[in-house]
Formats: sequence, structure tokens, C-alpha cells
Amino acid sequence: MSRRSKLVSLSEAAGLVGDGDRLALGGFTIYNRPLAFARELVRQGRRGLTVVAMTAGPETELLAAGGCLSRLETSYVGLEKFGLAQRVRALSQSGELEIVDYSEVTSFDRFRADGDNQTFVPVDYLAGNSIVTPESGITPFTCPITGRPLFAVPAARPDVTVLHVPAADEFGNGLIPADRVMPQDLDIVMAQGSARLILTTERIVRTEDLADVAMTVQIPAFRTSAVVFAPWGAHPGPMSGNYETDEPAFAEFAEAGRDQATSAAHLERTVYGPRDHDDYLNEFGVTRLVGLLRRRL
Amino acid sequence: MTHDCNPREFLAIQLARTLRDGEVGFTGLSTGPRAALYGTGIPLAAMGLAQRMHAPDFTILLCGWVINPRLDALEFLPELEFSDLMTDLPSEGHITGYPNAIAYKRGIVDVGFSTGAQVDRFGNLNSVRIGVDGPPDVRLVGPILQPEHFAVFGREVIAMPTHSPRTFVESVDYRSGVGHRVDGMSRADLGLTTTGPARVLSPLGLFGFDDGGSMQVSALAPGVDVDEVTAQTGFAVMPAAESPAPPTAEELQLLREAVDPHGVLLAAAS
Repeated sequence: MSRRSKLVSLSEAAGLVGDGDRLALGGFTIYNRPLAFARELVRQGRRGLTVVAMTAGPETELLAAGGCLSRLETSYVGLEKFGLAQRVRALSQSGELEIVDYSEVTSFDRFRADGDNQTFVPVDYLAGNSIVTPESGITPFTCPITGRPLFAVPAARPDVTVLHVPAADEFGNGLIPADRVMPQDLDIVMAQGSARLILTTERIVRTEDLADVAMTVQIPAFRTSAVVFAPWGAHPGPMSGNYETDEPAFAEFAEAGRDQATSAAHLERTVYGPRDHDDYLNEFGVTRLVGLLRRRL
Repeated sequence: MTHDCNPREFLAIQLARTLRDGEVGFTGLSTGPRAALYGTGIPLAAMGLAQRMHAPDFTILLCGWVINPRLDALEFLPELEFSDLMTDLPSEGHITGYPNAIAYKRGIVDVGFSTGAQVDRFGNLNSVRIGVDGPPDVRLVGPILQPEHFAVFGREVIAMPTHSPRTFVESVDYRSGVGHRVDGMSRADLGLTTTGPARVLSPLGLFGFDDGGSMQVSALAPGVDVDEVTAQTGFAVMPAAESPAPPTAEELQLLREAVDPHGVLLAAAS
């Protein structure tokens, strides 16, 4: 018997997400976001999703623009220097999207709780803060050791976790380099707490070569449900160590969110028009994409 | 004697004097030129000046992961937190994990800087929404790290890029940072053990809080008088208890030649 390959198409992997699921998408603000995957969810017309995040960025704005999103749990939603996430903002203001606010550290603690298989994290500093609401599930209780007032912040409990990684093998070993930045550490924590984990990857590498770089395998294959080859899968955002932001394309995406009509036209051109991710990349062309490759050694 | 300085230099110098040796200070990046000046540029200049004046063991924590960056190496203010500009900025250390070495909850950070859309008399800050109930009239970015800034950091400096009755309000629509009073309760009543908001920085000056937790003038920016502050603030601001000493020649020289030689941190916001 041979080992089972988990390599699937982007379309098949997106099919693992059901309507109404709680979805965790890797990366931080605009960095290392699984945007090819988000575009495929929009293409497939997924509905009623909850995004649970530490920070939400372009992946959430895409899902909002595509009508996939009904709830967002996060400490931040925005596009960093490209400004506010305008579709998220519009849907929030019209009441079609519920945003539940957490603080940055507690929104991260929620994923750590999943990794520890706990239902909540105790926090001692939320008194008086407006994030304590029935919708957030943040619940006051008394410390059984000291008698101090505490708050229980519920675990993130995503149904599906999707991370975009620099490299993976077909069995689901995810490689994250030693000279990583903080967003990549967050991905490792999200993987630890995942129930069903999908990796999209810039490169597929040979399993026999992993022995040389075993320290970089931070997401072990046995945790992973599916692997998707998705080069430039974070485009138009940046991918740490691989490529920089496609600034004109990202700015156009951010700007398109300002009203319903320009957002719909932008989705038509970048999501519904292209048959799949390969077709999307061909629209931009080799010269454009190669020009984004990181120049730093 | 007094020395000619612009309002940005004046604010950085007044703020630097409030920072103490051995402390750890935390600021992040901000979007837009005005927010970047008040939320990032002036705080970094103040921390850099404090290090060169009276606080050589002050530690600058930029974005929570770059330790003691070489501010004088900056040729422009970074706008992207994990860009190569940030990873290549010469510094003493980079933190990769989260929260890791910062250990926010242990109170490792002594002073933080944060910006918002609304601040009230008691230093409650809002960066989440305009509109109290139901769907928001205006949805903003979210609480980010403010709940931690105002409750586990030793004290907080609120940096407001604009000073008007719309931004300095009687009561904030949402408390993402908890100030000195909430529904009549003090921080002690709430079980909060840290100072909370200690200063407010705005284009009109530097402010503090009196013993009752109400906002009070510390130092008006050059050319600003109390009447202007009164007209631009949605609540009554207490006058200064004493007038601040003007910037010294040494402070100005260090700021211009050593801390910010390329004029990056304190560039005028267009």
C-alpha cells in the first residue's frame, strides 16, 4: 500500500467548506492571506460564513464583496496602508454583517485555547470594555483560586482552517522558514488548533528532500486534510520571503469596495471572469508576477 | 530663553520629558499622514529624544516586534508592518512569536501610544464604531490592541490626529480603551490595576488628567490659546496646573541632528 496524497484542486478544497461554517484564514492584516482560496469560495457562491480571525484583511473583504459572509469575529478589519475594508464596512452599516469585536491578544488567545483543547481562556483585564457583550460570549466568572473577578473568552472553534504556506509536500507537511516573521508564527498556532486544515502553497516539494530541511516542517502532515498548489496564492497581497504587494492591483481592489457597482465589476473581472486560479494568474501575466519577486537575498 | 521650534518639535519634547529611564515604550504604525505623525512619528521622536537626554535605558518597541530600531536610519516612515523596510531596519532585536517576549499581560510595557476616532473627558477611547446601538453609523477598524494598552500597559498616551468637538466628545460611542471613569465607576472599582490614560497628544497640545480623572491641559502647542481648546473640545477641559518649561537648545539640537536627521518622524502632515 502506498501513502495517500492529499493534493487536490483548489475547487475540491473549497468544497470542504460548507455554507454556514466557521472559517479561519491564515496570515495577518494583508500578509500571507489565502486569497486564491477566498476567490474560489466566492466563485462557488458559498453563503452564511463566519470568519473568525485575529486580524481580518483582504480575504474577509473578498468574502464580504462576494456575499459569502454573515458574521466576523476579530480585533481588526482593514487593509493596512490601503485603508478601510469598504465592503465589510458597508455591510456592517446596513446590518447585513454582524461584527463581533475582541481585543488583539484575546482574539489570538482564542486560537491558543483550541490548541489546548479548552473551551475558554481566562482574562483579568476586560472590565469596563465594550467588547464584553452577550454576542462575544465573553463571560464574567470568579477565579476559583484567588476569588478575583475574571472573564472567560471563548475558544475560536473554526470548522475549517486555511493557511497559505511557502512550501508543502503532497502529504501535507507545511514548511515555514526559520527566518519567519510574526504572521507565520500565528499560522503555526492556528494549525495547532485546527479541526480540518487546508494548506494552499506556493510550491510543492518532494517529500524525500524534507530530511535536509526538517526544522522548517512546522505543520506536520498528520494535521493536514488537503494540500492545494496555488502559486501567487496571496496575490495581490504580499507573501513573506516570496513576493511583495502588487500595489496597483491591491489599490484597485481596495478602491473598488467603495460602492456596490464598482465592487461587482471588480469581482466580475478578477473572480467570476477567470475560470480558475491559473486563468486569474494568466490575466496578470508572467512579467507582472515575476516583477513582484522579492529582491532581498 | 525660548528657542524657535515648530509645534511638532514642541510636542515631541514635552512628551519626551514624561518618559522615564528603564521604561519600555510601545507604538505601532498608522494609516494616513496625520495619524502617522501623531500616532507614530511624534511618539518615536519623543522616545528617541528621551534615550539621548535622561533615559538611556528606555526601550523602544516598534509594532511590538522591532526592539530599539535605529530611528536615524529611517528615510521615510514605514507604512507596512512586515515589509522589507521594517525587517531590514537596523535594530537590537526582532521578536517573531506572539506575544512571546513582550508578555503583554505581565505588564512588561510601561507606556503605550494609541489613536482613535473619539476620546472623552475621562480618557475613554473609541476606534470601533460611531453610533451606540444597532448597526453602526460608521464602522471603523476595531479595538485592535487598545483593550490591552489601557488595562495591562503601565500607562497610555492617547494620540489624536485631529482635535475637534467631533473627536473630543462628552461620551464615546464605544469603549475600546477604558479611561478613568465608566458609568461613575473608577478604575479601582473596575478592578483595573494600571494607570490607564496618562496623556493625550493632539495638534493643540499635550494634556493630562487631574486627580478626579478629568482631562486637563499640560502644555498648549505654540500659537494655541485656551479659548481655541475650549471651542474645539466637546467638554470642559481644566486649565494647566503650571506652565511648561520651553524646549532647551540641547533638546532641539538632539532632536534635529541625532534623533530625526532626515526629518522623517516630524515631517509636517500634508
